[in-house]
Amino acid sequence: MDASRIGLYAALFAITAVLLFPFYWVLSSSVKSREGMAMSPPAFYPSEVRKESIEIAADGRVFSHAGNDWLLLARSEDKLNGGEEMGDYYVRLNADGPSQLVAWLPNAAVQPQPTDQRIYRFPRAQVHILENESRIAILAKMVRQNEEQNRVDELLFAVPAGSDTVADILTFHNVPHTEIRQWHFRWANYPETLAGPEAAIGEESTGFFTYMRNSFFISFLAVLGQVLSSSLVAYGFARLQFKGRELLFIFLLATMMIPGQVTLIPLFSIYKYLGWIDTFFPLIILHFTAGAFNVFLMRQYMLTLPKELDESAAMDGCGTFRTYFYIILPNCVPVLIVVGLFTFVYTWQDVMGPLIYLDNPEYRTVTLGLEYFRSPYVDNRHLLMTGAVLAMLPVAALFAFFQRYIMSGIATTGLKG
Amino acid sequence: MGTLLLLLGILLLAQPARAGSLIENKSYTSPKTTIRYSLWGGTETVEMNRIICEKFVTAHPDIAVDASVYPWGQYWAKLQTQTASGLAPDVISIYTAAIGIWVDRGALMPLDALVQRAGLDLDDYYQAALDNFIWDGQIYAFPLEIALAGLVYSIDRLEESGIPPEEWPKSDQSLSWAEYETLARRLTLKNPDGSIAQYGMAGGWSWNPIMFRHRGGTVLDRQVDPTRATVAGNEALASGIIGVFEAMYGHRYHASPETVNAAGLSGDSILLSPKFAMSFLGPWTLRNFQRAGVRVGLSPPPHGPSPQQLISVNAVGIYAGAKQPEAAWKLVQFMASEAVQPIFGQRLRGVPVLKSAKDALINNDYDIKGCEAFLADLDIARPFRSDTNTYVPAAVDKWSQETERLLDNEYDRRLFALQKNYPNSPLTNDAYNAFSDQMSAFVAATVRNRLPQLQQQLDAAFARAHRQEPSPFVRTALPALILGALLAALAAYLFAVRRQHEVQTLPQPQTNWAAYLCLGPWLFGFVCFTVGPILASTLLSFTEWNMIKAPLWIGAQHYVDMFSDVYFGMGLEKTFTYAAFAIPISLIGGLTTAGLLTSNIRGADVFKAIFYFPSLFTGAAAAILWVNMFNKEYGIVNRLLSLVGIAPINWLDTDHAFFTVVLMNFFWIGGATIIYYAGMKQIPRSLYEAAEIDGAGAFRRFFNITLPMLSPVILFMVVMTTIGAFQVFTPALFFASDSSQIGAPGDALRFYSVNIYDEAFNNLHMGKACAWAVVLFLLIFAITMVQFKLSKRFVHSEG
Repeated sequence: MDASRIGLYAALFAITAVLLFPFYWVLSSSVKSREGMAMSPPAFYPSEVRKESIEIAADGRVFSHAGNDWLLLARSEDKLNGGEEMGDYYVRLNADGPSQLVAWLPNAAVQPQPTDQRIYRFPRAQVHILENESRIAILAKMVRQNEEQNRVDELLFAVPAGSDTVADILTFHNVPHTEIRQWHFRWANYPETLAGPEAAIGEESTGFFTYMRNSFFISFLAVLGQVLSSSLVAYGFARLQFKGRELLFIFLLATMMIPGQVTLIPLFSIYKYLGWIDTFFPLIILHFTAGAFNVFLMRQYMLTLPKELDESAAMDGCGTFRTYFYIILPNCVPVLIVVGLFTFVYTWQDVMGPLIYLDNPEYRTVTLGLEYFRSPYVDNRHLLMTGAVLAMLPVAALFAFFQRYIMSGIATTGLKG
Repeated sequence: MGTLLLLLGILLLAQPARAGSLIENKSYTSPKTTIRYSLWGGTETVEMNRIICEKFVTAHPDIAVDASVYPWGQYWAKLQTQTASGLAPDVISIYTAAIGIWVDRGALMPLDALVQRAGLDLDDYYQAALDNFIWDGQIYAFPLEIALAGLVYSIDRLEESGIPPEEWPKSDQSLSWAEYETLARRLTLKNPDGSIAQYGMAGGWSWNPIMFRHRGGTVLDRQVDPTRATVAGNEALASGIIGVFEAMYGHRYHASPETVNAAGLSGDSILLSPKFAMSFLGPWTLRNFQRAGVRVGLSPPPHGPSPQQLISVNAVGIYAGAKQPEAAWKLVQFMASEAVQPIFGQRLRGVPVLKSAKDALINNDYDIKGCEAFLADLDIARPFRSDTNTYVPAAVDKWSQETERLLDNEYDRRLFALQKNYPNSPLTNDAYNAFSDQMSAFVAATVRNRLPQLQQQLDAAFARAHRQEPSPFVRTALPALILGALLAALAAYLFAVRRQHEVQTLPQPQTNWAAYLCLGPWLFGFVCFTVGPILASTLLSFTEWNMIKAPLWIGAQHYVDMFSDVYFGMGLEKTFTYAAFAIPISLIGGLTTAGLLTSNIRGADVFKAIFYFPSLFTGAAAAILWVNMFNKEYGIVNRLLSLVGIAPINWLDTDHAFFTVVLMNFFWIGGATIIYYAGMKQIPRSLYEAAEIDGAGAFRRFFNITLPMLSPVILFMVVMTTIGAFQVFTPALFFASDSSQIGAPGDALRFYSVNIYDEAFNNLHMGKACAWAVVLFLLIFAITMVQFKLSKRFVHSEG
């Protein structure tokens, strides 16, 4: 293989990588936790910061202050503050174990606690690696303004792995450290997404399955309508002779140029008059009136069928419609599949229509459901990506299944008949 | 046909029954009358609403309530479409800033007669709250609760900073502005490189107008002057505006909107992020913090030389087209009664509008202490009324965003320059202070210089909303001219196309009824859903129509106004620019990939399928994925760029969002690939072989054989891509936070079609939207015609 062919394949693989990367990204993000989603810089794979549960004997270092129990982490004279007032660094305790807050409290303010011989759990302490390559579990962290230098000092309170006494707590002052990331798949994203956007804030939700069902219902009827009506119209244009055929066909082609916005408002009024707002009708009805592009596509295909088909059918006594249904349609399966798939892909992904016409959450489509996952109250970024995967899945599956037909079908669209 | 009818039948049966309502989906009894009621809010609102509705149906067993709760942005978007479609709820929730717009639209019913008949004593209610909803002397909505804001601070942040509790702001005493500034600056922490680790303050609810007011400046609300802007020469307002920007970009103790957005939280929940120490929030936010374990303290707003608290009041009105106005009024009256009013306080939604119920806020159900802070300013409360002119706040937003961007860029530039002097050590105190003082001076000068521009933009906004009485020419002659031009265009089109097809027209003039029957579905759709609506659109474009009131004939005024409308030019520019990128990307990308695939390689079918696959995804899911990948902080694109040493880019901000949307087109080249590939395959190999014998190189073969032979296909693709590019819409929807913000960030994604959607469904200017749509149609028509004309010269055809 010469150099130019290697370059050719390299280019093809490079394009493949670029085009498929977003799919890798959406799939991998769909099993990321909220934490994994918000990592900065982002990890290339679903991950979380490694965490360990640390248990520490309090060893007489629990004090009370302002109605809370505090665990003494470090004495200020060890290092750090250097102010005039003496004080120590504490972490506040609550019923379930220490919380992550660290405070600097003046010595005079704290009272020793008598019942302090318990074991304290630091559940999920983050494991980091220090610059000198030793591993520590961070119990608490504090960022303080350094008044003298007008900058921030970072204080770390950590234990080496395996420690279990307060005496092992180390304090670090402005030491570079990096978190240890590990693989973490959060499969629960899928059930949570399927439960629906409101479920994420603890409310009743119609759920993603309902959206799927609605989208399937709308898309299915749209496909049916489009396949039946477009093929019938295309049959008329391709195989029948009648007055005004050319003129009507020109009109048909011209409708491809009409932007949806032009008819939007009158259509909205018509549907409103018919009482069809907040029903699926507006999203389906147009598909039963033959899309211009689909008619064009099918006509091109039907023109390639031999004339003898109709003639022999006529001799067998088939009328116009019987010929259409029993002779022409069965011969058009590839193009019917293409039109059906295009229609499905279009209706499945339509945002504008459902946004304008649908209101009731019972009727939400998948695209609207996704819109509702973008809640202003909760950070749902991880579920949103799972939702995106669920929304893409049917389209991807259909493509995989009918790939051959689609490829040849699209190819014919651009070619002159 | 029978199948068709059968399917329609299935469709009818398969419609799920319209069960109850939306998010909160409950009918509370099984009665004779059902009224619909909708409001905005989160989980707490749902819960409170359940309590109120249950009480109501107990008291009124003959009425059922079908209540729906939406998040804020969606509530307004829904209300627009619901009123437009005549499906608005009987009881509409409304608030101070929106009342004028909705009264103007004719969506609300005056309540005076009902109030009088019910014998309500209005003295029992806060007058400032009632004043909000009196419009042209009539009361259009009844207030329920007052949104008063207070200074909310995170106790953890104050503890961490070592501020002793004695020095924390008090719940019964307001700070002075000087004390506030000292505190906010103390709570602002810097990283060693001078960037900000923690902000003392994050704006919150109506912070800026309150700052302006406290310095004695007036803001743009109806109480100042409803007909013009009052910026120029208003020194107090200028100092307020400069103060706000100085805090954000000078000494930077106040987080800028960009920073708040980057935190991924809404303003109401900003203290969930440990990066912010204080904010200015209402009582409705407190429960959220409590649940998340964020301890907060409260204090009344700081007081300046002319203290005022701007309040927004939440109210309920009755839909002008309500089917059950009597029952609806019963619910309204019930919510304003002694039985219900304390609930608004107890559930921390706001200050009850009934004077006797105000203490309920202090003794709230969640045991949150310090809520007296919200009551401190009741006596100096002023309604925060805005104009019915929706363009005015948009002009203010736009000016602010431009100013923010300018200052933000300058700040970044200067800080970066400063950091370069200290490559391996922290910035020194002196250097940093000098830097922020200089920056402050720059902010003050820049904002002051830009104020005349604000005045200009506001004048333009007022002018834009002020529709002139159309002259007789505009009223009658011009519409006739436009209609005539449309018909002429149609005739020209038919003439041109017929001539082109003349040769093919066969002399078969027979009437074939079966054939017309075959065309039936399309003919029906063509007449009812295409031609009819286009005519209707054209006629409506000569009217003022909000779908609530009857259309008002104004002739071609919308067409005349278009030329002075900034968004018209902007929409065209964005759309043309987008098309100017999208078309070559599809053309060159498609030809290149197809060229690669036809170079006699193995696995061409597999590559083809892979290339095509992404172009299936043009909708919501792809936009969501895109927004995620291009995020500045956690997006993978910046991570990949960082591997080759490129600094992070904020792909989704005002400067870059447009470019990011353009980039999506690379993802979609596959559709073109397939078609060009098929076209190339049809070119006879003999042509290439002959050229090769003649010694033509690869380039010459491409330009002299491939391109000419492909030209019909290329023309087809270019036409289709153009039509698609002119209608681009979905990315704009998903780049904005919700559909009412469409076009955001800034005006970056204000495509022409976005303007049409915005005018129609966000502003309910149906006539205007129709006029714009008609112009869009004419544009696409003209461009396609030009393309076809040009094609005659360049396109090779085997006729």
